[in-house]
Amino acid sequence: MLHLIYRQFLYDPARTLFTCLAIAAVIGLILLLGGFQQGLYEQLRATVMNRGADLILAQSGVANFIATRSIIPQLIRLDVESVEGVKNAYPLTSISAIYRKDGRKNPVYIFVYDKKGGPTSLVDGGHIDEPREIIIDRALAGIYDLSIGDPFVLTDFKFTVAGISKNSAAFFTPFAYIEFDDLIDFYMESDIAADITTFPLLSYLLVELEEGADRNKIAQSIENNIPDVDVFKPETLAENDIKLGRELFGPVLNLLLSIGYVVGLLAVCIIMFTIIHARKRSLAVMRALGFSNAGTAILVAMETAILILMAFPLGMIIAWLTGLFISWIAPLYLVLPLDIIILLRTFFACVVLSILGALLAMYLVSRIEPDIAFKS
Amino acid sequence: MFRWTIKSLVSEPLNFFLTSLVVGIALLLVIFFEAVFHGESQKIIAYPQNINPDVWVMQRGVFNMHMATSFIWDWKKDRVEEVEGVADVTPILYLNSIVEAGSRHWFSFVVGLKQGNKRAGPWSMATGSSHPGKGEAIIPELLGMIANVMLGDTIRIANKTFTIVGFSKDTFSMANSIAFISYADLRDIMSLSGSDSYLLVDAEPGVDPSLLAQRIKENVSKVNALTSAEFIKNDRELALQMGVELIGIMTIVGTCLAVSLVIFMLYMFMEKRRRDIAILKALGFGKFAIISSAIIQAFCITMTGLVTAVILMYTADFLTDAFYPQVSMLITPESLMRVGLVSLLIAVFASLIPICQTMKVDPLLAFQR
Repeated sequence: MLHLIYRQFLYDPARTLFTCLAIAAVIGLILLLGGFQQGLYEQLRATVMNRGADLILAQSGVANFIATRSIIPQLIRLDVESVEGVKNAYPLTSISAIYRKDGRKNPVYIFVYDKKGGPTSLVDGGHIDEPREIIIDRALAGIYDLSIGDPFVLTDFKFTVAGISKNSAAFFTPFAYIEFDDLIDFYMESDIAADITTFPLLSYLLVELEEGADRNKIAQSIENNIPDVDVFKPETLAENDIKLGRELFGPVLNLLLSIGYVVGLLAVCIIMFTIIHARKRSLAVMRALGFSNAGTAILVAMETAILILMAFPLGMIIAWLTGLFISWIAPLYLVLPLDIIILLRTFFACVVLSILGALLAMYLVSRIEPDIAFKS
Repeated sequence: MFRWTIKSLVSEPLNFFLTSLVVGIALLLVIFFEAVFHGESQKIIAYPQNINPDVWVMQRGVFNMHMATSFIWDWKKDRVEEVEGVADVTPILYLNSIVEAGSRHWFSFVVGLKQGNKRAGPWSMATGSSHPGKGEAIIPELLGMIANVMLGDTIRIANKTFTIVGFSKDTFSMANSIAFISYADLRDIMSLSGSDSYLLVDAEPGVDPSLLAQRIKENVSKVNALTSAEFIKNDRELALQMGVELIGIMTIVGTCLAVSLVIFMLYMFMEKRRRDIAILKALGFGKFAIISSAIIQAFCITMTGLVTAVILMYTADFLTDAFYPQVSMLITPESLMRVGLVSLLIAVFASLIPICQTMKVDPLLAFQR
């Protein structure tokens, strides 16, 4: 039977190729939509994890890192550093602003850091060495055609682009990084601060522990001694942000994925229908030669399953290449189509599609009359 | 030739219908995504659109509300009131924050309202009080339903707990719902002492809002003043610009999928009609007629797919309203036009392979048994 399927594939290689391509396109779409969803969550996770802290301290009652306002008193830093096992506590402040240039507008999250918490990977330029320098995400650089040394004016305060970073965006928003020394100038000189007390000078503390220190114990100790802050392991804070992302984007993304699965189901059904319809006569010959109804249906069902299996790696390649293309034209988005969870989920969906395709095949084959084989 | 093209296409109606359906769903992905972005953009501007003062006054360098931060000294309210043509000035505090309701979290515009300030509060109530007192909050009715909270239940904003005293209508959005609390509470959350976020300025009758905005900018230092129309336009543009790339990506992905499916279907279709094409060639039909036939067939499939997509989209709109009320969609004529153009491209690309196929058909095939 396998030999027969093999011969069938080779009989019209172009048809086999186009069938595979059509199925692969559908698989690629499902992988891509899943990869887009996964990428959104990964960006949220990376935003916290890339800060490089052993523990993160936020304002009491604040349980998220991104897109939330946390203000903690500056003097707490000294208290935290005095806790046994704490090596350093690095300040980090986040500000939300709108960047405008040439009639375009983009929201930007600005991270103000000191030694730790800055960008993790630069694609161009270097770290901040001079006053009033800024590192921007490559998505911003791409949209506004900015390069190293260019001015970056944010609410009337002029920065100079010192570096361009990658993997520094989340929630459809690119990040920018400045150092603490420039924060006061930024508040005072730009029109952003009529009342400087309204602006966060310290949002989070990134805690670095001494080697071998017990993270849980120190977290508990900080919680007990400093009531103004809540202490989080970075992975917990990242999980909170991912949960928030799921709640916000879940309905739309799940709806999109559902549409993707419906497209997949329909595409497999239509491909099955078309193949059987086109080979009605040769299938009738098989029936006339003594192949049973079930035998013929199993043959077609196996053919579908093999086609889907052959199309799967092709779908992976299509999704991977499209993901690369998306990252190239729109670096704000991270697409992870080859994430293992997405792959497994899509593969399982393909198995279900094969089964449904096989059921359709059985139904269609059962309707073929062997006497078609003898008609002119 | 045209007659043959159409007749042969509809000779297998189920095949034709299924192909159009698949193409329709691929196009639906494109329309759906754009509709969600437009729907959300519309929801994002719900607050400025419904409050609709003549002029918005904010910190210089700020031009909108969505994801923006604005602070101006509270004494500037008096300066604005002194400007000729100003009838009334209403200050509000505003913060982008996460609202925790039940076990759910939601991004929200949190608006702080001064005691007795009805000008900037909710414009339509489902139930309860329309003005929050100390420790009280008004949240969107839909958020209450999703989070399964009722009047008297509590929510959290930043690190403070609030009692729900009212549910407002038309204030829910996936990206930014609107929650109303008292000015004093929001001032505490934001650790403010003497600042407002925005001033809503109502002009005296007959005063041109754009001239008034200009006058405010000239008379009050370090503020920006925009007419309501400009302010709303800025917010809408920002929201839409955030989605432009995504819409583009989905358009490319949906187009590629539709092209590959139409290529497959047309290939199968042409394979079955090799003999017919050979006869046509033997009868003297030229290349142009046969190429046109392939293009017309691709065009018919994609256009039927487009119509299917539009029907499905309106059905999806109706179904999401009923079952997924948190997703708001807005189908615009521009988006349908764009998808129409994309469909034309699909037809052209998808017909290329069948064209090559038909060119290779030998007229002698017509005479073979």
